[in-house]
Amino acid sequence: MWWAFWKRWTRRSSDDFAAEIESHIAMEADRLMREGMTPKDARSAAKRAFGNTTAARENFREHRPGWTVESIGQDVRYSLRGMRHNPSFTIIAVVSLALGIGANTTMFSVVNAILLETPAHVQDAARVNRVYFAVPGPDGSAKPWPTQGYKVYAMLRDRVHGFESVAAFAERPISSGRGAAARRLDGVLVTPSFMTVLGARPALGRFFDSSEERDENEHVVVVSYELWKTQYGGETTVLGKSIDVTGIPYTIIGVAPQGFTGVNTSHVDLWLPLGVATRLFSSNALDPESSGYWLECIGKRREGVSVARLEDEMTREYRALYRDQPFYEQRLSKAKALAGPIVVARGPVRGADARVALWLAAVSIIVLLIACANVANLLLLRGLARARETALRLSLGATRSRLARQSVIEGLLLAVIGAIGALIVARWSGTALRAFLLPSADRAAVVNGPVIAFMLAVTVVTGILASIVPAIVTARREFGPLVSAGRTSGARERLRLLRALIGSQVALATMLLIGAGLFVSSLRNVHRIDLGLDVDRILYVKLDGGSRSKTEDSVTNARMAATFNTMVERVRTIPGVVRASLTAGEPFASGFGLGVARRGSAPPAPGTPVPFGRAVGSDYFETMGTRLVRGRFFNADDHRPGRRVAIIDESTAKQYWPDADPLDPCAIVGRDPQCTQIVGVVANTVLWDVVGEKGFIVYVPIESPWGSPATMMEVRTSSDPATLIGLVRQAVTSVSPDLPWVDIQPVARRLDPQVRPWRLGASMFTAFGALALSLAAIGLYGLLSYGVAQRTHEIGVRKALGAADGRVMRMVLGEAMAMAVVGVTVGVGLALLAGRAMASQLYQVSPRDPLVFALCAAVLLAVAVIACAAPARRALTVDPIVALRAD
Amino acid sequence: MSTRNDRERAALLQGTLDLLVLRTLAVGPHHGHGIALAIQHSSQGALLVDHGSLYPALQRLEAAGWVRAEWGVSDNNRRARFYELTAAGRKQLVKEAGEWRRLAKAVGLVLGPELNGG
Repeated sequence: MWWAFWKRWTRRSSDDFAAEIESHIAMEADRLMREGMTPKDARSAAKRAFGNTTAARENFREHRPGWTVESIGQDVRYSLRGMRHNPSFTIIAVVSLALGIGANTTMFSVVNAILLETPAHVQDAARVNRVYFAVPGPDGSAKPWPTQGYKVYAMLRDRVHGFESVAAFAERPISSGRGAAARRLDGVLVTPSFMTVLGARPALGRFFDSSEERDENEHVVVVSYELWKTQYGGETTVLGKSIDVTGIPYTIIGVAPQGFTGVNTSHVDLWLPLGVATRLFSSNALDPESSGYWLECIGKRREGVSVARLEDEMTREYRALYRDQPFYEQRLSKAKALAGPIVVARGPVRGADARVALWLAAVSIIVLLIACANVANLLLLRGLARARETALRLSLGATRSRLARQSVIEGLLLAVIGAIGALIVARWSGTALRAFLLPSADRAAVVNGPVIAFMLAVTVVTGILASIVPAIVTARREFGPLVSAGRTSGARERLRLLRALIGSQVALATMLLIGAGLFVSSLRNVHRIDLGLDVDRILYVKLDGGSRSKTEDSVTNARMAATFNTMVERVRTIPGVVRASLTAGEPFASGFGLGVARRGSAPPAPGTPVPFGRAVGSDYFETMGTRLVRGRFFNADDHRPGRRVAIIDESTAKQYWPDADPLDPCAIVGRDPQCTQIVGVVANTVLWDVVGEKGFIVYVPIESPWGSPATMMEVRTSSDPATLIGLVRQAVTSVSPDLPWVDIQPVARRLDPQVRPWRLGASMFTAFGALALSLAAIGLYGLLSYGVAQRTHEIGVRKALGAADGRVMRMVLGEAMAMAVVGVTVGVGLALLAGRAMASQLYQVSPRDPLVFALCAAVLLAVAVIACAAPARRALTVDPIVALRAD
Repeated sequence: MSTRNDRERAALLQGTLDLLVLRTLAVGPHHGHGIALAIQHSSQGALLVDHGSLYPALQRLEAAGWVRAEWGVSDNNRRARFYELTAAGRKQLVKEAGEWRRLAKAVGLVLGPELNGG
């Protein structure tokens, strides 16, 4: 029965209510007529007595339960009116939310691109696996490794039945054209099965067929959609045309689909059949017994085959493959195959960018929380200011749930407007992020479908988060019917909430600032590392084009050496070039073991690092800015062929000549029985990477028995090296016009990816920290302003009673500063907790660095004081007379 | 129209009007107009019910489940919506009336015997 009643009541329409009012007025008119009024007068008097019928109907609507469209529309209108009337509130709230949502959208777009999105044009991406093998090293640790030799690929293809199809690929830069027309193209060598595994179809023409997997004379190529559009005008006649690949014409047989980059996300210009690897790189690249690990393997699991089963099968076959080689036996019994997902960052080998991106995503969520707290604060503050209005609405019959709903709708509206601003923020910060911080994340920070969906979700959650506290307070507070002013217990409760919210804002801001401080000092430490060379003024010129086939022909080698020497001479004449030198192999990227020893000394203990050899041309140390510690650099005489001289660095000197003069006239180098003279000792320089080990390098002249032909030129400049790239290229190609693409870049840029995680962390934490700080400052300012306004009367009384300015100041500031101090303390505590997780991302900074902590706390307190200054001054200027009269 | 007056009138309404309506309906079902007149008569004209506020009050009571309503025909043949006290409404009436009496008694005790002048 109750249910029936409820149903009937909920169905009660506005018209029904109107009918009731009409009947009431009619009855009142009847009564008045009985008292002697004329029908006309009675009617109008009855209407007057009833009052505003429209108002009553509106009241009726408010009491109808449920979320009707019209009542929500009303709330929206009401909220918009409120926002218009209070522009400073609206602007602060919208800007806070725009920054918070914008930061999150940007970070999500990065996370989406790196972690979530599968590469374009891949069918059934969940069934496509990358193959890794983890073979325990001598120390027992087994790091999964993605590259394999051709032999392993063939094993996966022929023996592993869990795979429907298997493919292998290798990314390689390709030099196209010669001399001035030379350019670098990003090439990927693939097996013909590559497109089958991924399920991709060409936009035009065809992909490779199986004969092209191993035949080095099949000079065919598939160009990327983008190259086709830009270089060939998107014409179908492109098929059959030829393109120069390291000096050989290749026939274009197809065009890849738009945006297709295989399983990685890096840029691709050309797809080449695997067979040509023997011609492009190494003649034994496809030899099953070659030890070169250069191919990455992928495969498509058969329907119904689990990853675990596949891994078991691959592990079994992998061990079987090497069973005949007793050398491998022990380690192989522990080798394991892994089938990782197609998205690299989700697999066992993830880059620093992926880790940093996740960190930043977490940080951006904190920023969003702060923005929410800020808006909640503002809504609460405004709720306080509107306490009378609320009481009035309640007594006029508005229900509490309706008021709470109003608050939520207001929060959602603010979030939606904020989201529009966030789109602008996301576009702008996305561009900045791509340009400065994540150049490799080509597709990152693109606002696409999933990003928009995420942003909408964030907007709704933010709107609700920001307004839920004010809504609950509104709904719960017992604004009795006799409420007469704002200063009620409800107000006190709100103030308590406000303080908690601002305290947490301060705490979160402190945490972020400390994070920023730790990253900034890491970055500073990284920059301060003495690399042993002067990276800021050096250009690296890669002369072998990345793919010159090595030759044993001494005539050719001699001719090349002469050409390179002419190039160095030519480059040295460029204004702005201070020095130039040649080296064999690329510092930081290549090296060969070259032992040294003092004649007659005991063989080094096992585990002693074997030095790396580096073959250098004349002027090398002067060009690189490596400091001489003892003796001398190589002179012209040392660069005569057949001379046996070497220069060692400090670590090597200390290790092998611990108690003797390292300038040994008759040292042993390599397995050479003859005397080698150590002519100098130089400072340690960086070996592979910036933060890695340094030292243990033995320098020998290119021309010495241990040397090899030069492949690199280093150029020292007097100003920014990047400005000289063009002139250096001209000089080099003028000597050798048919040179393939010469890669020239400042050393600093080469080392940049290594420094990037810290720079990313430092700049993002700083940006987010500053954002959080300003949001917290706005919160403090708002609360204190409100406090002063509310207490004007009290301040007036105190002043009238003779309170000194200092006392008033203390009264006003005390509360705000107490909040700030509590917030900072909590923030420091949180930072200490979070620090442990952050330690691995830092460089030579303790996650509890006292200086950083103290500095951040000081900055926060200073900002708190500044935020409080204006309201506090307002308190001082309160005129007791005016204040007392006001109430 | 000043907000202060608004507030005072409103203040009178919510607490007391609900009680008066419930009490009036305890006698038997009535329509809105009748309820207003009944209150006015019972209070010997001291309480003038604001018609504009009566219907929201009825609405509220109906929502709370203390009264139910049905369309019917009045004494002088007008269609009207008749309100009737529910069991829950009767309980509420007993409770609220008790509270009100206690409060009135307490206030009366504080005020003491009637003072002259003022």
